[in-house]
Amino acid sequence: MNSWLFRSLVALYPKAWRERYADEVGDLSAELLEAGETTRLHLALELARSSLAERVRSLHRGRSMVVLSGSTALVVVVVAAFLATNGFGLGGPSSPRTTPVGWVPVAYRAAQVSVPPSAVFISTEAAGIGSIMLVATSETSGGVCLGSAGPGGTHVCLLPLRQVPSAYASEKPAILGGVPVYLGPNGDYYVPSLGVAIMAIGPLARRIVDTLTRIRLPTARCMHANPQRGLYRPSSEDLLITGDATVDATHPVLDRVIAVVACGN
Amino acid sequence: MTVEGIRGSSDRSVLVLTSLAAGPKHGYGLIKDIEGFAGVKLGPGTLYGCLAKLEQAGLVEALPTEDRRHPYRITASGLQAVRERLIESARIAELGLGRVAGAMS
Repeated sequence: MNSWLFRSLVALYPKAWRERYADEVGDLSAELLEAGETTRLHLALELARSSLAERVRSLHRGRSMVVLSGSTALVVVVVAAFLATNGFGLGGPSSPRTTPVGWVPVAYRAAQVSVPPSAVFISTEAAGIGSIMLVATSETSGGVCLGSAGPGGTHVCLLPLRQVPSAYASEKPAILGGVPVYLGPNGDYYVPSLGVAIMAIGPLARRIVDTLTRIRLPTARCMHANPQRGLYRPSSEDLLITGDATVDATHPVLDRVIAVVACGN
Repeated sequence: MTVEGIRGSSDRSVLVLTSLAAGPKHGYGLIKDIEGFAGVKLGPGTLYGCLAKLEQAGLVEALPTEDRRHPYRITASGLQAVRERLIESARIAELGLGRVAGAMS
């Protein structure tokens, strides 16, 4: 596996997991590839899917933490202060978020974020889309992830969230797109009113999160492969390919594709 | 995951423990062994997800690296945990097969 791709995939795992197991996973992956037991593509997908599972486990562990450690609390304060001075409107009046020109709005539960046209969504079973980096949804908790290939790629996951973690319950949320958002460390955003947690990593992560709003997909301007579906809401069983993604038409994953979206607004 | 927690864990953790019950193995060895006796091919991310949980629970432990291979072995707690889980599975299987046989007769 290309080292940059492996590094990109490993970067998706929680830090503690990376530090303990990344080398071992790298050695095993290389051994499997050398033995012809797997392909680079399947390996990439499997690692991406597993990274999300680890993230979800990490997230759930975080929810059980009532008392933040000093360093974590410091990170929260720094992130909050940073966001407050960089247009997130922490505690201030809300401002409507818009989809940047050429980006694609995507909904999960009651939340909507917008992503670059190269972003790809994929289910747990899917594999094999051109050269685009794919990120799998969680096996256990549902949700949807998106990402793009290349060094320093961006990966964003929207996951089910039923209540704000207790560690943040007493905090004043930031307001993003008119929506209260509790800011966690390590690129975690808790949006209980929309039923999602957002995990965002990479250079475009903040730009994507900044487009958060309640669902208002411009369905009239979206083309769906299956028009019966109407408003598109990705689920763990769905695969969405946006914009100019390159598709390997021979791959069986195509029967899982439910929408090729070309939305504008 | 606690020792007790294996009761509710995925079958993959049981597969890993069952494989290690036969002796220490590294990742590649685990994957091939599990594929052989269970017909399930684990990927490296999935395998290490299981190993991480099991190691955290004290059910497996890492051994010194051997030529870029990283072997693991099952602990006494791991043996006890997988034994209990397999006994429970066997009991349910026996009960289920009896009921199926009754329904088919």
